[in-house]
Amino acid sequence: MANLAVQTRQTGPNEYAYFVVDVDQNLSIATFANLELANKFAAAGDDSDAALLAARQENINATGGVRNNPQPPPFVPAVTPPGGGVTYETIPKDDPVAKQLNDANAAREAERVQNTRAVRVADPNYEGGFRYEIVPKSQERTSANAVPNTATTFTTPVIFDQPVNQVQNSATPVLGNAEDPSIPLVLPPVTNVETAAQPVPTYRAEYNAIQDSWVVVNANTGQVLTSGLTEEQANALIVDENAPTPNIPQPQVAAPNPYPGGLPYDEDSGLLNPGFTLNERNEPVFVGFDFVEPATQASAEQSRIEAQTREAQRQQTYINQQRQINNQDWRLRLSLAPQSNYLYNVPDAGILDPLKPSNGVIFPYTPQISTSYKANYSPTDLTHSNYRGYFYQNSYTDSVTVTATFTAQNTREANYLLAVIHFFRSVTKMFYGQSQNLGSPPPICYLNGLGEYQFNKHPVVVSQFNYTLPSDVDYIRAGSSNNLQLNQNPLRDKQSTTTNSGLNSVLRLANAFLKPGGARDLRPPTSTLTRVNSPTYVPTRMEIVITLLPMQSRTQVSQQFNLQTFANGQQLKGGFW
Amino acid sequence: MAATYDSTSPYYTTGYSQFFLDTMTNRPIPFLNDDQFWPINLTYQYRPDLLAFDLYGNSRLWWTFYQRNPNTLTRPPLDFAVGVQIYLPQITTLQTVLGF
Repeated sequence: MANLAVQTRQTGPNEYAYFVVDVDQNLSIATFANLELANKFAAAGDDSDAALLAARQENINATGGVRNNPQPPPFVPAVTPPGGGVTYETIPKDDPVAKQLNDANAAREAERVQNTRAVRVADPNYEGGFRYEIVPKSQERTSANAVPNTATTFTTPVIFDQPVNQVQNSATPVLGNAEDPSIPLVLPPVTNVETAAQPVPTYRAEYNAIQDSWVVVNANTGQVLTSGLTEEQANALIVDENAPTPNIPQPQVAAPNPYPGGLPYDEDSGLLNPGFTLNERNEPVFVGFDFVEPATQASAEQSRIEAQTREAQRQQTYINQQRQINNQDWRLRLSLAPQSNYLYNVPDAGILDPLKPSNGVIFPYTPQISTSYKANYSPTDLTHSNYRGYFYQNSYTDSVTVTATFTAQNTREANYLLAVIHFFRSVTKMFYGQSQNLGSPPPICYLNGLGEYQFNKHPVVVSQFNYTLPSDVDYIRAGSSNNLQLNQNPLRDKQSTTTNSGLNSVLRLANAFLKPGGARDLRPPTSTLTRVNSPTYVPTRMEIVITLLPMQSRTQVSQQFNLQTFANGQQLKGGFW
Repeated sequence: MAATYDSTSPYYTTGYSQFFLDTMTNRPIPFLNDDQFWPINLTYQYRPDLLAFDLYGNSRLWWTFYQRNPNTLTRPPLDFAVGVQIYLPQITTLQTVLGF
């Protein structure tokens, strides 16, 4: 004998179904379209198969399921099945139990709507290119601060593809579990929370039966800080979180989204709107304009480091510049006057051309320089005196002897050595015969080197030039800037290359003195080519000795010279010997 | 179908009958005063095609040297030897005459 009761459900505008349920076992035994048959079956209390088969047969033979009386029959609250199988939307408002459930559902929905927000997110994988995310308005950050240079981590928002009215609701904000977002984590409302003007963050551990794990919630707000913990971990975390340290992570409350429709992206550029960031699943969420991501903070730190690096590099550059000033070329150099228009300072200097870039002769190896400063005294033999008397006559700087070594290891250096030799030859001769500056003596040169207080634009003339062509060294061919290329001509001809590259074609034509297209070259052979045909050889190593005479002008001596100024070194810069 | 010859070919103007080329029609290169007189060097010895490629960008124009120097060059390519002085037609002349 079973304890059976009848439960009525409306299945249409004017249609009802009558369920016979076992009150003790909370099971639905049979469904009837006729209330009388249902009451008859329930009153009999026989749930055997035979009785059920008979009732079913009788139900089939009975007419309808459509009541003439639209008023619902009395309802038995005790036999209301708990939740499962009940579709709230189909419960009529006049059903007191259904109304109660519906009101509770509406209350939860209102609370959910208040605590969460639907965000439209562009996603090409969804139909229409958009989907909606249910994002808690109070976003919480977990441990993003502890992980530098990583994206901001938030509690996982619940994502729904279904209509909003099918979302499972809860009395408290629903924050999904990070491990399984499809399972929402329903937390009971927080009770026994003392209301204070300044709420102190209090955290507590709670057991989640669905997840079979422990979660840590904020007792003030009821929001879940972390989930998926064991009891020990949760308790340990509570101790740390409740410790009175300033490092307690305060949940950040998201600012209201100022954009219409909550669009995280700019539809034109596709970029994130200001105030949006990406969570750990690379989904956009709005966190407010005052929020600074750890990645941004790291970027700012990186920018500071780079600025410091640039400042250090700038200082190092300044130091290098100063060092370069200190370490500038201090090799000995003998050059012509800057505004001169003779020897190598002419457009076509011939074999003196290599001296143009160096503005004179640079002694590549530190030469031996002999300088003597003399003061002449006329001795006077005094009668009946134990000492000789010296009477000052004059002072002068004696000749400067420079002994230098030159080497030539390639054609370029050979050209330079040949130019040096010929320069010293030329600089000892006057402008005579058909020269331009007819009648002028050999030009004045200027000696520089070894720093500003050694030889600084000191005027000299070359009085003697000695060089010896040694017999125990190799000689190298000089005379052309493209000597290296031309020296390889025989080899290239023997190879008889058939490479059709443009460069080789041009080289072949150049070696044959032809121009592309067969254009006739009317120019006469250049002097370079002439020199190629008659090369000059210079030793790979040789020494030269030049004798220089200091040549101070009378104007300088009489009007500019000042012994004190010379003594303090200032006039050394002006070229006074 | 007879083969067709490019305008740079010496057989461009030569006709054909059925499957055979007709008697070759000469394509003379005019003698101009601005043609460069040049001695063949070792690089281009026996290689008129290489010289044509370097000068004109087309090795198929090698025969123009023989057309321009019919008295000097008679047996290609072995008479294209070092020291032989020939006239080199300009490419503009070839473009005008040959039409390429």
